[in-house]
Amino acid sequence: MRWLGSRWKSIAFFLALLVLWQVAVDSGLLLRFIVPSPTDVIGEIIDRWNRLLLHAGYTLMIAVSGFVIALTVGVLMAVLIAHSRFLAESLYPLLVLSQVVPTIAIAPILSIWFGPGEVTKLIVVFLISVFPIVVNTTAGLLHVDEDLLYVARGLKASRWKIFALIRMPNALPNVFAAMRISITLAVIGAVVAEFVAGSVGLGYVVFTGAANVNTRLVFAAVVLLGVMGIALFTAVKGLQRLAMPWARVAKEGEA
Amino acid sequence: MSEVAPSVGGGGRPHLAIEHLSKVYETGTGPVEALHDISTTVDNGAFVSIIGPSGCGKSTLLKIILGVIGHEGGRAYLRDMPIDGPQVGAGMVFQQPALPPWRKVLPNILLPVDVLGLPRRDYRERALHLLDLVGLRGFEDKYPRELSGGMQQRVSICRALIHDPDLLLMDEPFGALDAMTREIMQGEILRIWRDSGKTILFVTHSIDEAVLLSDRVIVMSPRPGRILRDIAIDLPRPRGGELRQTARFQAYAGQLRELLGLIDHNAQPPEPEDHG
Repeated sequence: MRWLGSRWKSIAFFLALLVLWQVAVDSGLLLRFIVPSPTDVIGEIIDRWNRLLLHAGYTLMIAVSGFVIALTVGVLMAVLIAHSRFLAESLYPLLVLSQVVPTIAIAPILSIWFGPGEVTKLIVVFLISVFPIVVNTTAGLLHVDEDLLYVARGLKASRWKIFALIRMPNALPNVFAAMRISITLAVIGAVVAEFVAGSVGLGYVVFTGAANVNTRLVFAAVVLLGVMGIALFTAVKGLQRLAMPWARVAKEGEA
Repeated sequence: MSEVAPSVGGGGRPHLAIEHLSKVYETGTGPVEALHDISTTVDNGAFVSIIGPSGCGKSTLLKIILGVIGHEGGRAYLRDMPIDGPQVGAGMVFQQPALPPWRKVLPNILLPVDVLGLPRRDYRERALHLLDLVGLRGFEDKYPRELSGGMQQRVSICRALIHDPDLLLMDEPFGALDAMTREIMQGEILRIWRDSGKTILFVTHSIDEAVLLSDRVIVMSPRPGRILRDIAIDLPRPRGGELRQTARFQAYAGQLRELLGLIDHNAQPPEPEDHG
């Protein structure tokens, strides 16, 4: 229960907000059909559990698949950019430029080009979550202790050896920092894609629920999306703890 | 140039020979001459220090000898072989330990073994022996961040020695340590030097450190770095901290201080040379 120590304040605050919200709806201060109460939302989730789970599973699948593609391609792009000055100077500016155009704005066009299926959705998720991975990983690959590089070069280390033994592990903290940002963006991307394409997923539920002014259903889907986001974020953090055990040990003099 | 003293020590070929070496850096504001016509030799098994003001090219010289940066004029030889690339026969220690944080102490020491593609198992015993030598046995499974600065620097020294190079290049290795740790490390490096028979080329800012450790002290000028004087330190070994109190130690230290322009009344500005 030690984890509770630092969090009880935010948990208490959150519960207080929920109670306040419940009271506001029950007392008629807020109109129930516009803002359903927390118990209404929980009831909705229980009533429609099977269908909601199906939609949530689909959104999770899209978000995670798109994220994994973004991670793979993003790290590969970072390796190429870090490896070659030409690619750094030609690819990198285009990448930054691509971020000026909001991915969300081109999602409808993608839907026209690639149809309402998974391809469109994966592309949206990829586009929205790849950028932090490329930028952070590139920085981690390039910002290596210079003295360490001299030690390696003094031993005739090949570029490959330096990459495998030094640059890649050096970039690991950056990769995970980027993953924590990107996994959250991936869920947003999946939801946005489901707004504009197809008829499945929590994004679709939110979209159609809002169109029918079924606020209970919208809130139920939003709550599930929140839970999904927290779960994915926590999973990435857990992965980081496994992959970077050295970051967990206490610093000398801080034990 | 005639100020370069003949090297002390026994006969045989010198371990390191540098002839009329110069180095120019290209910078945004034009070329900068870092080293100008450096000539010296270092005998097998000698402990030679290089001292000089910041930016005099001491570190550059070490990197040229390690073979990781090039040079323009002159020649450098390690064991009569021209230095034209990385020198696996030299180990390098920097001011900062430069230990990758993701490797525990033992794998950190074995990094050169991994880089050279040698089998780790053949060097495990040697790594443990080196840890013994620096008093860190039992710390092999710690991460660098769990160690103090002095301990990290000891690991860095072990790493430089793991593939058994016969030349140890040290670039202000104790410069980032507190005064007490520094004195302890000075004792340790003397012990390692005596036990291993390595040749050590040691860059330092500390006059006391240079006198205490070295057979010879090479004094360099501000940029462009030239050799001002090469002083043989004729003090008995083994040396310890108590040597600092002796008159002869103080005389050497005073001489160096004067050469470095730290004593006003006797200070001689370095003679301007014709760079052509």
